[in-house]
Amino acid sequence: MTRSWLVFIRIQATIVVVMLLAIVLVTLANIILRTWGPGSITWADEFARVTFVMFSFLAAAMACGFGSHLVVDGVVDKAQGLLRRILAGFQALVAGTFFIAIIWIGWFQTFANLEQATPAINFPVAVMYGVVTFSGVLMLVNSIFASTIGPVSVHDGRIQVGEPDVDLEEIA
Amino acid sequence: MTGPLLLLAFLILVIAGVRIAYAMGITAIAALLLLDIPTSAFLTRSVASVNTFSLLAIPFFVIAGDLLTAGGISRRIIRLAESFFGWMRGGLGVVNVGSSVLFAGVSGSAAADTAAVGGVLIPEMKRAGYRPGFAVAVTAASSTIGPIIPPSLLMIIYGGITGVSIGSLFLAGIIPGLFLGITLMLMAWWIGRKQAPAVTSLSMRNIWIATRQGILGLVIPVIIIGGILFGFFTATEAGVIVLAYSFIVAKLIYRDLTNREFVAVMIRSAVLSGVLMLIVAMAASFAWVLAYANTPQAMVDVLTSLSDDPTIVMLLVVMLLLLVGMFVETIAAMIITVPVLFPLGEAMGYNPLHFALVVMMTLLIGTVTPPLGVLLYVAAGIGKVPVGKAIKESIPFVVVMIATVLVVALIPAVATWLPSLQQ
Repeated sequence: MTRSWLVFIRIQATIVVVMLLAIVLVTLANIILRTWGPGSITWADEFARVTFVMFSFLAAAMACGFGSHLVVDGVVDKAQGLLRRILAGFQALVAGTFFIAIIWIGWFQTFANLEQATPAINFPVAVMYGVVTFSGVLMLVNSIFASTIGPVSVHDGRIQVGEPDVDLEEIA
Repeated sequence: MTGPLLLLAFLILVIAGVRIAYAMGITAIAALLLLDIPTSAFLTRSVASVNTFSLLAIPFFVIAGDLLTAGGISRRIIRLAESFFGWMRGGLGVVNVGSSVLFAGVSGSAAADTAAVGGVLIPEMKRAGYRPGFAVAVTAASSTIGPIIPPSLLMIIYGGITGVSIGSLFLAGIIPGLFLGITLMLMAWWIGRKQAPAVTSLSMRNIWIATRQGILGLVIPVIIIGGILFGFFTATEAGVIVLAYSFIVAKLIYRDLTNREFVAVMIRSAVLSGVLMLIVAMAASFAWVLAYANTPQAMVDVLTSLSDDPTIVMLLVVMLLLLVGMFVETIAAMIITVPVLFPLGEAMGYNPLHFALVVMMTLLIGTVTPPLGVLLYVAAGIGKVPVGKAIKESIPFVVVMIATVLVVALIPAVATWLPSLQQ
């Protein structure tokens, strides 16, 4: 089960890192070509933004697997026994409702935008909303994996289950 | 009445330990259902808020800062600060603040500063004879300069929420950040001079060697400030240029960045960007619902009913944010309060850059005060010092920080002069 969890999250990590590199390279190329080359890449800005929208939601979904989303845990840390279990159940219920709401609303938004496309690269807006919807599914699945097997973290350049070698809070 | 109820529901969820982004999202969706507004507005607002070129700066600066830290910039910066200030009695406290000021120009976050500078200097200060609580307190307090001097993740998010120019925010932060650095240096020297002797002698040769080794990191703020000030590029483009530069320095010049570490940096940056972007997306919907329910206007009415003097209202805002910052983490506190306070700033006629700096600097004080002094806890953890000792030692620094915020609050030009030179 742990192995499947790691494979699943590593696939997600590969996709979001490739998206991130694509955004970086296209934006950098645009600046270089504008300054020293023949001129701007007309589609660069739109490509970067569209990719960034999909990247943001997929990366947010991946962050569920890392247990990294910000939380104010002062009160919860002090709770003990039954109260702590009730709070944990309540948190899971709210999170689950939130994920299902994203999937539900995203599903309708996807179909409502089937005819729409972005102006420069002609990218279907429905695909963008489809990715947001899919990220809701990933948030749900990653959260279930993280709460049953354990959240993942980066150790020596590899994703593993357990404590990180650099705490994300340190770079936040 | 809907607005206060929304805020109350959100606060209950947050206090119950629900992740902040989920709490904002679910509150916004519930409000849309209650107000009989199509729920499609939720995702439309959220996606539109992320579909902004300026927010690309978040991953760019996160990667750049992490690349340089992995590439060994922090020890070079500390060596540089040590060569300048280590010759004074009590100089290591000043070195600590100086390192934070230099590191602030490389990294966009306070916690990164605490970890990088504190990891080296807290043990060194303890060995030199400084009180452990003092070493922790000076590290935590000086780390708050990180998000004030550009690049700053806090400013990028503030700009993303309010639409204020991120480039101008970067410029607005420089003088207040340096001013805070100087006041903290003076306090660190004043307290530290009785605790430990100098660690090195003043030597031009040392300064030259340390400058040569650390100069590549110090170029970054010059790229950002010069590029924005002279109109060569935007803050977002500065981010990608700094990223490329950081990669070249860490990989090809310092040669400290391994391929594995590069992969780790990319994954960590992706996760952190995802965390921040989900908050920005949910905050957009949440703020829209609050605005629909006239909450910002109600807040303006309440505060202006107490006084219509802009200075008094500004001081009330500072007091409110000091209180919020003590209990809520900075990014979260900013995302909760700014949608409500920003319209107040507009109504009172404050310069948006000035108001932004006051908001951010005030909230950052909460990172070194109990009960939720995140930086104090991080630094105490690094230094293996009881938090109680660090809290006691942090009091003079908190006083200095509050005084600095008041100066910035009462003299807008401290924040607005540099952006006014922008071409």
